[in-house]
Amino acid sequence: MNDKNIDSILKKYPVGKSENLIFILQEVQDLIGYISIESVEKISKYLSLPTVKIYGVATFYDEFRFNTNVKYTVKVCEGTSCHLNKSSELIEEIKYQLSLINGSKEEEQIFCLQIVPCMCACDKGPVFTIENEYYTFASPEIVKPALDKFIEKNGI
Amino acid sequence: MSSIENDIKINIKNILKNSGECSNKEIADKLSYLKRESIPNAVITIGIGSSSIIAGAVDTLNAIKNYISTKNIKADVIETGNLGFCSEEPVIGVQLPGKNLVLFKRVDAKSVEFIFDAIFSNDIISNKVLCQVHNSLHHPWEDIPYMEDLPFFALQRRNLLRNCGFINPESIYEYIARGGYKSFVKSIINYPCTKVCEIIEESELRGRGGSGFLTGLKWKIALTSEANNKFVICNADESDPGAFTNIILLEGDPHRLIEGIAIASYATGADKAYIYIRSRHNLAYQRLNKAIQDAKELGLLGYDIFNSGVNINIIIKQSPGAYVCGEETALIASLEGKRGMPVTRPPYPAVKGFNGMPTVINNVETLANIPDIIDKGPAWFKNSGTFSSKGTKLFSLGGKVKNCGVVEVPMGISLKDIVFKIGEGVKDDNKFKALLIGGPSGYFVPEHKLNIEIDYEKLRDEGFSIGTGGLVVIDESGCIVEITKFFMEFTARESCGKCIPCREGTKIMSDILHSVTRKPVNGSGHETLERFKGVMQLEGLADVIKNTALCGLGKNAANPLVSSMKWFKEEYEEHIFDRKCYVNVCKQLRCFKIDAENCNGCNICFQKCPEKAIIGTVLQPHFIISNKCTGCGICYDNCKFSAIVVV
Repeated sequence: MNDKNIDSILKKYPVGKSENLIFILQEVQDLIGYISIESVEKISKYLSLPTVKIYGVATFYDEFRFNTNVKYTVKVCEGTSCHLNKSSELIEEIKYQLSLINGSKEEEQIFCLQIVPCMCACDKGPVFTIENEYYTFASPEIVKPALDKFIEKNGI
Repeated sequence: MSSIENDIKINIKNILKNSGECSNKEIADKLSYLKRESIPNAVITIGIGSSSIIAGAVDTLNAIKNYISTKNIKADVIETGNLGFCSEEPVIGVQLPGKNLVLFKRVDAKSVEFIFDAIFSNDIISNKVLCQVHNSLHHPWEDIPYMEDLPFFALQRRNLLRNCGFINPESIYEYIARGGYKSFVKSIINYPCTKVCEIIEESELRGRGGSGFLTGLKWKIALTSEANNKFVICNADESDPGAFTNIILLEGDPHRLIEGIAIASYATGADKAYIYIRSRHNLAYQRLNKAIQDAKELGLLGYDIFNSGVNINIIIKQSPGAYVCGEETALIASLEGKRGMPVTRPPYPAVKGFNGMPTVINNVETLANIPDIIDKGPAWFKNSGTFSSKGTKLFSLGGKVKNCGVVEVPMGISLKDIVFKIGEGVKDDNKFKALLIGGPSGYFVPEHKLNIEIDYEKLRDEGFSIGTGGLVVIDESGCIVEITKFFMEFTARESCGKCIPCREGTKIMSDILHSVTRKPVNGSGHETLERFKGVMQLEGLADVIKNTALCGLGKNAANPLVSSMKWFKEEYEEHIFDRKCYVNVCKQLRCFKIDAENCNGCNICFQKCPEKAIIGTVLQPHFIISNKCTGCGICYDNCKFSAIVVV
């Protein structure tokens, strides 16, 4: 199903020009939500790059995901201000709560956690978001209710 | 509104070529409307940007729209960027015809109604008002402070930020009405490329990305390098923890950056320019995209601009995210589709950069300075600042400070003034401990050094550096060792792995700091020895990394460590010798004791302790063997009778 879509992305770029690799990967991820093995093989043929090179580039950057199931992103700020306001405890708690929801198998994860350097809300730290919902002055205690609310709302 | 846009579109050349002095009265009136000098209806502005959205500005915006439609009020609602005063957000502005613009602070959805009820009957809710904005054409409000009177704004000199929070960032017409794109048109019509480089060189503008290299000189090198193609790259990959100066500019006044890039491209002879922006800054990306589209539509970008034969194209590329890509050679590698790893310099990018062609890489703030310098001349720019550092500088002020936000101050102001006057001191009246300048590869500044002036040379002489402009205030509740450890972990994680000193050195430093901030876990006895050995090596290790690392990330990685050991030695000694963190931040150094009176012998702590450090029998008070305790705190968290106390 995805094959045609990936072809349509590739068509926008000239054949064999590896300088567009990152932008192709970005478009693939925007389209199907992650970097799949098939898409890497297709890109490899199109740009005449070995797949190992493509994985080398993709794994270097924070943005790219290889996990098939992830639908929702939890972002938490680890800027210096948030860190001073004990964001590390918050991160521990979010990791723990997400591990309970996601289970142990990596391929079954629905939520993924992104730790970002600054969300521009240094006076309201620690801050975290579940998709587009913002939580400011967040203490570890509010993580579970927030996640429960989100799960209920989205019927997961 | 649309007719105004059309009129400007048709007369664009006249407006921009005549340096804003428009002879046609009709057009002049329209520009004055866009400047909101004369408005027929009330205008309501609301700051929508990354920081205010987190504060709930979208809900406020909906409440405003709702209020206007239900009460049937004739008013224009305009979404602006953020003012920069983050701790008072969401900020909204109300301008009634003939009256000064009034700004309100912390306006949540609930307070919209009573603020508006009051102001539309010419009354003001005093506890919600922030300030009024001075304009000689309008009547002032009584008993409301002016913007310049507030401590947060009093010492600022807002040149780059002057439109932020006031204009609609998605309207090119508002930017043009306020004098925008004049400098660009002036440059391409009146000046040859070399002249523009000379003007910038004369202004002594220095790169705001941290290194402080003369921008005009960089441009000149690129201009004089022979090549078929040349490039300008705007580095908007801001990803320091705790720095958000660029994002305020990008979201609040994107056209200023576009104009700066256009002038830089013209001056260096580049026909292609890239903006390299972090992919998660969606709002800034959208606004920049819109800005470029609009500029193209008016013929300000593209081919043969204003029949001058100049071609300029600006392309936005989204950075996939790696801290090291802030380094210019790594940024180029990333744009070329490779892993973002730096290479050795020279050759500098201005000689051989993107695709092997001369490339000028400038920071957002540097480029945003350009239009004003062309417009008002280098002498104007040199008016503010110190002997060696001219102009203004943006800082993001955060941490435990009362007024948090992005500030623009003239060079030469002291750090003390920024923290205690603009920032109004430490939050909750706590004691000041240190100021962190320049993010994770920055420096700790102790209280007695705060008198130092912001100036590239003066800071360098004292062993500090401006960096990218993050200022974080640490109060007495912060632990310097722990924050240093946090930064070392950050750099170790973000190190690209190309050169050994940075890849291995940062890891070892962070490991040593780990062993300093926790108790020995395996009980083998070697850990204490390792810790002391490690601590003794820290300074030497820092020296080696500084001297041998390939790029700026590695060279500056040890800065927080070195400066914290210099100024806060006693805290290290407490951690290393007393094995105590007196501010109780380093959790794993805590010592626990069981209060025999409160302990009823429920036995839970005994079962939960992973180190078997708790002894006791059921229904009898328990006891912790302190030598075995690793300070994990599991017993403390699980005790339902508050019998376990920290000593």
